[in-house]
Amino acid sequence: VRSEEQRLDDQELTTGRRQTITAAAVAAFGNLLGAFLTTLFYGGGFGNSLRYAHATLSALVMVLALVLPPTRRLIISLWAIETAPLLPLLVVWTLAVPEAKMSESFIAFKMVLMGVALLTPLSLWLGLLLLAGLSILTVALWAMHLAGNLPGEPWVTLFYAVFAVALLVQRDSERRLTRRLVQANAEASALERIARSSLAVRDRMNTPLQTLALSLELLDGRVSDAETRELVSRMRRAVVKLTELSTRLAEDDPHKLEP
Amino acid sequence: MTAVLESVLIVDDDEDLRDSVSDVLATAGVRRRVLAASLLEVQRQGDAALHSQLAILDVNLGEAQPTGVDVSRWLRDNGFGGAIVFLTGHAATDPRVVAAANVPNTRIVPKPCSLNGLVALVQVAS
Repeated sequence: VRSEEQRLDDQELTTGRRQTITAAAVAAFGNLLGAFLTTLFYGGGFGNSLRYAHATLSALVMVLALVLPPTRRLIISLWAIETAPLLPLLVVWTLAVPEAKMSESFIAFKMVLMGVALLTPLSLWLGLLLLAGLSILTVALWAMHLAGNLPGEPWVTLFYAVFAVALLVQRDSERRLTRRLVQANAEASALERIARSSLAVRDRMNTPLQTLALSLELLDGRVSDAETRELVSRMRRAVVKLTELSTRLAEDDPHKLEP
Repeated sequence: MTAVLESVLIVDDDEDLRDSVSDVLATAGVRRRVLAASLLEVQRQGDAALHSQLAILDVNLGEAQPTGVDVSRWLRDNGFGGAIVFLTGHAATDPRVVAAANVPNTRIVPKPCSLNGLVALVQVAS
């Protein structure tokens, strides 16, 4: 059971590492693309410096995830380092672009919400915390009339957030269910091995038991003095107990042969 | 009235059990007991084995050895006309026991069987 759990842990860590690397790669590439487009359309600015900084951080996270041996704590930490700075950065980037020039509010928020829902590794709570943070920022920006002035906001973004929460919870429960299934399967296999061993022991003890039973029957017919007969009786009782034990070992075997 | 068979072939890889069964059958009145531990030994015994009236065969005759089923096939192929009883300590799902169950005109007796049960095998109504 333990080795199966270990295998599952290793599998989860491998998946977690892959998710962290993917997120870091997407963030690095997205930041560079964002910087390029912002320069192209709006002439760059402070927002781009932050994009380059976050692209560098993402690249660093990617390298660390590739180089360091994966542990649960490392992957969760790298993910937090990678995503937590996005909260203030998203505010800066959202405020940097006038909504009049956009067809939809909070586009970056929505993309990050989906990214968090799809890629957050190992920790449900970290994912929920990030989604909560993103939702609070959306509502705050909208309430302060700083963003989200286009029709339907902040409800559209909050709908994305609800969907992201559902997705994250679904992924986590799937992960827990897989773990429970693996545990149940491993326990069933272990019990099956024990049952097979006990049946093998029973099968192998039947031949010497048969020899003992027959030999004692023969001996019983050949001795006449009371003292020896008492010894033989004692041995016969022991053989009867062993036979009962053998029968008991076969009790749960649906394929036992009936005498 | 019951009579007892004249000759019985006993095949078991466990020498102690082989001798014990032989002793029990001798006590019951079986005059000729042919003992063998393997198919090879049965073949060596030749006519003595083939002319027995009953063959008591252990199903499992040791790792990587021909089984009691192989012995039964050899006996039948060589004109053995007596009854065949398989003695086994294994479960009915054991592949060797399954093979034994598929041999026509045979019986399977689980180990351990009682002295009376063993004697009943060699008794015939007369």
